[in-house]
Amino acid sequence: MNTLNLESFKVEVSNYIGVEPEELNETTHLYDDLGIDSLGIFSLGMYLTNTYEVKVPLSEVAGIQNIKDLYELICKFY
Amino acid sequence: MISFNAQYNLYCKRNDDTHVAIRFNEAELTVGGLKKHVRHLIRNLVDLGVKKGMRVGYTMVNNIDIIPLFIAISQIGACAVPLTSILPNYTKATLFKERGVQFVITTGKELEGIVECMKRVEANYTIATIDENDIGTYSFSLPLYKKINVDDYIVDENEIDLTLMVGSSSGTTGVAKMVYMLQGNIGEEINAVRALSEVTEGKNSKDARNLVAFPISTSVVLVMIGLMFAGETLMYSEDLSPAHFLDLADKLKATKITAPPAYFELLLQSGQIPKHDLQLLETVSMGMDFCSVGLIKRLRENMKALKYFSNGYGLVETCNVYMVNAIDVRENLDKLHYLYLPKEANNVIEVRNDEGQVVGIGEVGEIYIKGNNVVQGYANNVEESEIYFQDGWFKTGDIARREDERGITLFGRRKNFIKRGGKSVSPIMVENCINKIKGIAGCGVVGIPHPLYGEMIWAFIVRDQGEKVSLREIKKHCKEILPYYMLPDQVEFIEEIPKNKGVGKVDYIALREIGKNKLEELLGGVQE
Repeated sequence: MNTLNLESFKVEVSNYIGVEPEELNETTHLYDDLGIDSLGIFSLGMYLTNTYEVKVPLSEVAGIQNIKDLYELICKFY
Repeated sequence: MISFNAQYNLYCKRNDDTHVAIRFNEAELTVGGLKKHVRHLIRNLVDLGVKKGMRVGYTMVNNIDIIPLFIAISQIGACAVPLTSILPNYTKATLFKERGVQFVITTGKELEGIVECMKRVEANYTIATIDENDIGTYSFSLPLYKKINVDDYIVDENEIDLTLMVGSSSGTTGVAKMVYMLQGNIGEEINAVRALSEVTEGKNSKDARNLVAFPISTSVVLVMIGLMFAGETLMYSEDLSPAHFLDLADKLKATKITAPPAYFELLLQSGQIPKHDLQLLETVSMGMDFCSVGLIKRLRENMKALKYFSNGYGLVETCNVYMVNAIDVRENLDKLHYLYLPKEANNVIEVRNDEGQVVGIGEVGEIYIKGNNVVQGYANNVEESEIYFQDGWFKTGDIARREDERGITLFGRRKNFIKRGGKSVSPIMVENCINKIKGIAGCGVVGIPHPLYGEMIWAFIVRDQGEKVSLREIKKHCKEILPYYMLPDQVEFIEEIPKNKGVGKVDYIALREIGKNKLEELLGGVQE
């Protein structure tokens, strides 16, 4: 598994969600803190897989809760 | 209820013969000239064989005769079936046949194409030209030797139930349905359009010089006549190229331009506006499509004298305009999509939820309308009529938020709503939100079918030249205004929004195709 730079990863996520990167940390909850719903998680996943040119199984996207989960998932397939 | 013919008679009484009714290019037709010309056209129609109740199709590039011809057909109790000249000849020939016309009037230049297609569709309507022609077909421009007393043929203005126009609506289903618009329906629509004029002109409609840039079609001819009957001088041309149009605006001292939003976009993109004076141009008036906040802002930046925006809204089933609005563009544009029922026309509306109950103020539902503007049903289509016309109410298929007793904010056609995860999303609302961002030239928002969630919200965005609005700025702005389920799922920056031919509406079908293809690519990244 290759490692993505976490800070630049947070910038990409913040671009998609529309917040400043400083507002995100590893425990920021996608549903509770950022108000994203399940389709939003999927869309964010699509955006990130396109950005980082990775292929991620749909079943793994469904389990994501926070920024750390998302980061680790993308790193897993990077 | 008042007939169209009665409205014409009122117009003739209220205006001096010297008042300029129409300017076509630089030629002018006063009210006195219009009355004479209508009588001349009546003589020709009678000589041609047109009688009360018969159907007269006509199709011609914009010219000075289009409006007097409609009035003449109405005066003798016949029915007009106008078709825009931009349709292919074969389509016109077929539509004329389907709508049962007995006569078709066109111009000498367009004659050959119409005759050829008439033969192909095996129709046998009588064809005539409004001007000269080369093949000996009846021409309205030749002298009449027969003595015809026009007054013997003009119908009583109280005949409100005569069919005046046959139109076609694709309505909520996308399948064309024929409607018959009666003298009384169109008479009421004239009242609504008078209100449209008065919202910006007040009682000074006679001072308005309105330059119109629409291809003259079934709906447009009604709006144009309504504005003329309100007292405005109606100005138009056959040449709609931006340079010529703006030259004309300066020469004829236009105080108002009426056109679809796409035409104003064309004027802005042409680069011609700064080369023209337009110092008297105070009002832009639109119809046929939604106008974005971004467009109004850019018009305000480029047209220094601009003060007002007005909008007329309606459907074929309501004989066109039944709701109007105007705002001062120098103030905030929050009420850009607010529309209200003018008191001048006898109609009522209800906004109902999916259970058919009237919603409260601030709530969203479908618009139903009842009143004199509304046609009686779809021609020869009992099934569809029973679905959409019930107890005099017409189910419009338009979704809106009820704002007050007579006013709504329009959100768009139900069929165009995006079904995202069980919630209905108005693409117009999302577009309006995005178009408010500085640096955005325009956008189109569509729903892209998604295997799990119904549809995703996909926004295609064009930035202004040289601007670098970021995805983050767009998302941040949207979060401040829209509920979470309306936030665009995907944002795509493109060079140009694809447009339809004709009045240049956004080509949502093309956008959906782009989005679907892109989603397939991306789904390759998130695998099943």
